[in-house]
Amino acid sequence: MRIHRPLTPEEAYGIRKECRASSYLLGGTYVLSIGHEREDLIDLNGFITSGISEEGDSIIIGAGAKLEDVSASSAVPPIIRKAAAGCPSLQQRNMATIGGNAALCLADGYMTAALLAADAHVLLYDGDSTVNMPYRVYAEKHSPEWIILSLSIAGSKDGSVKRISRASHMHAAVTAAVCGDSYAYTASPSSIMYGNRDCYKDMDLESDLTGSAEYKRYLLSVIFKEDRDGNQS
Amino acid sequence: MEIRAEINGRSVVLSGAADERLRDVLYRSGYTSVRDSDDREGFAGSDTIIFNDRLAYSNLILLYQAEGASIRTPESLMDGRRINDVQQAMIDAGVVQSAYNAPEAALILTYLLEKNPDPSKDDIKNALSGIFIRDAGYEHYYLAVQLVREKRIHGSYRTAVSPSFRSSLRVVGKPSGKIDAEPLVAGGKLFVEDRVEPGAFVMHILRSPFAHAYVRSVDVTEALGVDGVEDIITAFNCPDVYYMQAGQGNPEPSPYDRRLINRKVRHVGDRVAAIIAKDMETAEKAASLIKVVYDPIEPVFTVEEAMAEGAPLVHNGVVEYVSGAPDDLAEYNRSADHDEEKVIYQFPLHGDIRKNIAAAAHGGIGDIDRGFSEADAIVDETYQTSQIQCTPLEPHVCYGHIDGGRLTLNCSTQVPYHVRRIVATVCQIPEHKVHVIKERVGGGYGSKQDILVEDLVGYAVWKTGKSIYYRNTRAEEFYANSTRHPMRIRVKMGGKKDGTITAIYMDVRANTGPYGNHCLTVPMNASSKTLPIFRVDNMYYDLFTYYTNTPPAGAYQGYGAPKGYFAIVSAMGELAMKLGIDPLEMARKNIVEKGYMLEILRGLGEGREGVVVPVGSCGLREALDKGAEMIGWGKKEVADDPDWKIGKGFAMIQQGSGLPGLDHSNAQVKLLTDGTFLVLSGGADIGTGLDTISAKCVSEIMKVPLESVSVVSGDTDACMFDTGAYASSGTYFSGNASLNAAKDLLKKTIAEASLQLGVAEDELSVEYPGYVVAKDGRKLSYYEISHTATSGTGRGQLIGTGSFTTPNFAVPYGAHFAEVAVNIRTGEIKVRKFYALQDAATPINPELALCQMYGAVLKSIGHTLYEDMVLDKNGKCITTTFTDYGVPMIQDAPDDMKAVLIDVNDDYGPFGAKSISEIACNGAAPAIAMAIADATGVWVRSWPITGEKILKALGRF
Repeated sequence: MRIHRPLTPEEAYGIRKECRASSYLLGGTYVLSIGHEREDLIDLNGFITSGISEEGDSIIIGAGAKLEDVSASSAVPPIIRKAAAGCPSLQQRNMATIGGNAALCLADGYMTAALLAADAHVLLYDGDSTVNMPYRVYAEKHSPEWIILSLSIAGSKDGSVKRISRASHMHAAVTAAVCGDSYAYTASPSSIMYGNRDCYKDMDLESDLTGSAEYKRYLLSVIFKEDRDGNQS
Repeated sequence: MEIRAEINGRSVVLSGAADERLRDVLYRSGYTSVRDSDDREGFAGSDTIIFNDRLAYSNLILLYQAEGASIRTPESLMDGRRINDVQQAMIDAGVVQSAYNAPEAALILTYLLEKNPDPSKDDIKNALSGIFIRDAGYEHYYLAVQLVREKRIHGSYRTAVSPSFRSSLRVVGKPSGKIDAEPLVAGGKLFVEDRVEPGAFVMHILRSPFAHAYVRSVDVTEALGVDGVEDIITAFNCPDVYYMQAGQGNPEPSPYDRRLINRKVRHVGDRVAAIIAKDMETAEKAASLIKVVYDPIEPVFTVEEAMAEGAPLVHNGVVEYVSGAPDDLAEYNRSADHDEEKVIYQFPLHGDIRKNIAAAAHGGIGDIDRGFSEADAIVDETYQTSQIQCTPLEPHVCYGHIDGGRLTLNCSTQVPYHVRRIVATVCQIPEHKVHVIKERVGGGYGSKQDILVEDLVGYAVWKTGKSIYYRNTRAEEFYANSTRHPMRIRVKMGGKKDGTITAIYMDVRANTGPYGNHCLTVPMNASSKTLPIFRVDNMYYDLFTYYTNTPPAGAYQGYGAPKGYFAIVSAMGELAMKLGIDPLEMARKNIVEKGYMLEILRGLGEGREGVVVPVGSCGLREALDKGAEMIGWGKKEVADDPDWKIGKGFAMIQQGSGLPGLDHSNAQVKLLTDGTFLVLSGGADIGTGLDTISAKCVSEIMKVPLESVSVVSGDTDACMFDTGAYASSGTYFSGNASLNAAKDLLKKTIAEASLQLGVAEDELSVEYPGYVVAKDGRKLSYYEISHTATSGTGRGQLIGTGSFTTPNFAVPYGAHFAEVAVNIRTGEIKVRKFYALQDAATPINPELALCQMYGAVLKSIGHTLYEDMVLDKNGKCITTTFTDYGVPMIQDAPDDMKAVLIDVNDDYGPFGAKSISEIACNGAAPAIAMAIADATGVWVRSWPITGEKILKALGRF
């Protein structure tokens, strides 16, 4: 394994372009875990920040912020805090970053649905410039070379995030998040959808270790229920 | 590269490759408490350190990332050789058992208490959320924290760690801590990997990508040319010796159906070649250069496929019998495939390999048809259990070397003497040429009853003369290891309206996978450990075990009993529901009690005629009554949220204590020259506290402090023969051997004292703390007796010898109760309460007993709800990580979990003790299944019981 330690996004981007079989490294809980190792690792910690700050109505979270810090920060919108706390292992939360989670867009991850429902934005370097982009766009169109520098979320965002898995540390069959009338759904192994409450109906679902496609479709249809006041839970 | 870091408060330079895992560097640099259970998955937590003041997995940190870091390892907890108060509390609470990651748990809790001296239960749960505990469960970790807090505030513990038993005894029945716990919790060099010498070679195994194929050729020419490759063993150069890997009494009730490496592979992951090389990189490179020509055959994966007419045959070689060959054997072998290995039965197991049947058995009592004809209702249902992995935190591992011309194996095994016998057989050398040293075992649970790696390492060492280290990867633990036999069990049960069960029929179809390890004994337990709990006149069972091309099956804690109980108690629950009877009342009406003659045992002898005996000590009814009271049996719980339905279930259970008539244990106790004692026990302590039991036997009999006794066990040179730690035999057999040895030593000590004092033996007695006292008031200390006995004019060292065999059964009984909530909208399942009540008779180490119950119960909750080995259509296991496979972590444990020891006294066990941990695997599945049925009306009859299955049965999709 070759380690690259760039000091700027531009440098990192260049290495990533050059080394096709490379990965960016932030927290390492994914790219250093078994089955995900690459020949070239590009360590982004030389320039990625991890602070959490308020800017106007938004909360800015450095991509290097650990999930444990995100879950513990009172400044972070509750839905994102809940999603970060959904990672069941303290050691994992101490190491995994919100930027890494956002970049991977994992359908059985902890953050994807929450970031989509909360309409988070990512500040990223796309090889030419630094771009502010809705996470929804990132999730659909991202290039593996793009580097997420930070995330911003409206501080007022609250809502629910729920994942259903057989056991606490197993892959989630489905994860769903809602902020107001904004819904997002992810289903293992790779289905992601956001939009209105019924948008899950357009998801292509697959059977896998977490359950059958039919089971997941059913779960997505009932995962939120409304109370008498119409609130989702 | 070299990096500078602060480790445990000291500035240290660490050397290695920049991309090397920090875990490996730390271990190599002497921080040997930092271990690896998951091959960089970031799951099990054996590699936990404090990295820049945060808990982190060192396996997910590269060396270069540690530059300038502040690191704490469990070694930091020690003050010289003294452990800290958290470590001591863990010992006192009984959670230090196999202890592979106990040092990390101690580090985590120490760190937690530094940050928060008064943590809540949720704080503790959060702290331990990234560490997998398989042996002791999590319940007593909360207790350990409580003990630390009490001691820090009050100077002493205020909470009892466990109940005590037998007030007339000083240490037996009292929580005393395991005698080997301190070095374990401190992270001492006690495991096999700690014995590996610098320069040792490694072994890597090239494994089959096919589930079923002939190996036509293996070309190793190019691979042997790789610099650093010492040798490559294949089917074409390994000894033509047949054996099997199950560590069982000899002759074994399992067929010899394999060689070291076979000419036909029978599962994905089967051995094809073993490469011995200077390092793993070299071995893997050589493996990639081996050219194998396979000739694939259609595989079979399920019992149904294996038993189908014309099914491909997993074994179709020549069949031989060491004894009891049938008359038509020559005709039977006419269709044998001579390209295949032979199958050699030591005695008839009623197998028929031409129908994929490895073993079969049948038996019963009464008139089954009449029993069903008398019934007012009958249920006839089939229950399916899945393939489950033992998942010891320490994978299968072995280090072998030549020492003084003999083969020495450092092993993590439950059966050192079977390792010696089988390795000697494979190497074709006498047993005296083999020395097996059982090191501390980082979890066994049955899987280390099988000789799965020692055979190949032993032969490779003997052949090459090199020191060789081998360790299964975590993935290999799943697909090249022993697992629970998947079983399909049909139960037909009839009963009367008054609750009397009139007949029970069990049809057990077990899947042994490619080889027949325990192919009779494990499946037999599905019936032999379940039917005898019923006071029913008409019972019969049929058993067939099938070969298939799945990953191998073998021993697992509880053998076949957890599966049998899932089926038979579920059937009883279904029958009660059909009859409109409370299942608990049905159980009460049909369970055995002390003195009941167990006629059913006649047909349950596992290959020989069984012996009919009466039920001995039995706390079953008390367990049922007490458990029912604890859980509020009969009171319907209602959740605030109408989506959540709550139900209750139970299971009555039993197991055994070893195998009377088969098991055999020996021990010696030496009086040393200073008056202290050394026990040499053949028993294999696998973390359960067996050595402590041996020490307590000596302490009680010789009336000396427990601290005056040390134990060496499981070393085949130093200690005498023992069949091993399996089938719940440790306390009953090995413990009784130590007890008998202690009694023998007492007798000899009295005799020697009689000669030294000139007093008749019957005028002497022993007194605490270690004196022989005469009626006239004179007394000799053990030091004085031993000193004189070993002097130049003495009569020799005093050594007590004891062995133990028995025809008598010491059967533990119990009842487990579960309260489960099911969300009928989402299918989520939560075990809210679980109460395990068992009669271990006199629990010699009560705090360890409780933790073993917690561990076994949680393991079984995992088997019931989460764990599942899944194969793809080609037979490749696709659940080769903990996350994919699914094991219960602290968040999955019931909020309210209690283990209760029912106090009865047994006639045969040492100080009235019976076994404890295997039985605790038997209750969760049936109790949870019944609770789910009570909550939802749905009986799920297959493992794992998932939300998906419940929702489907409810017609939700």
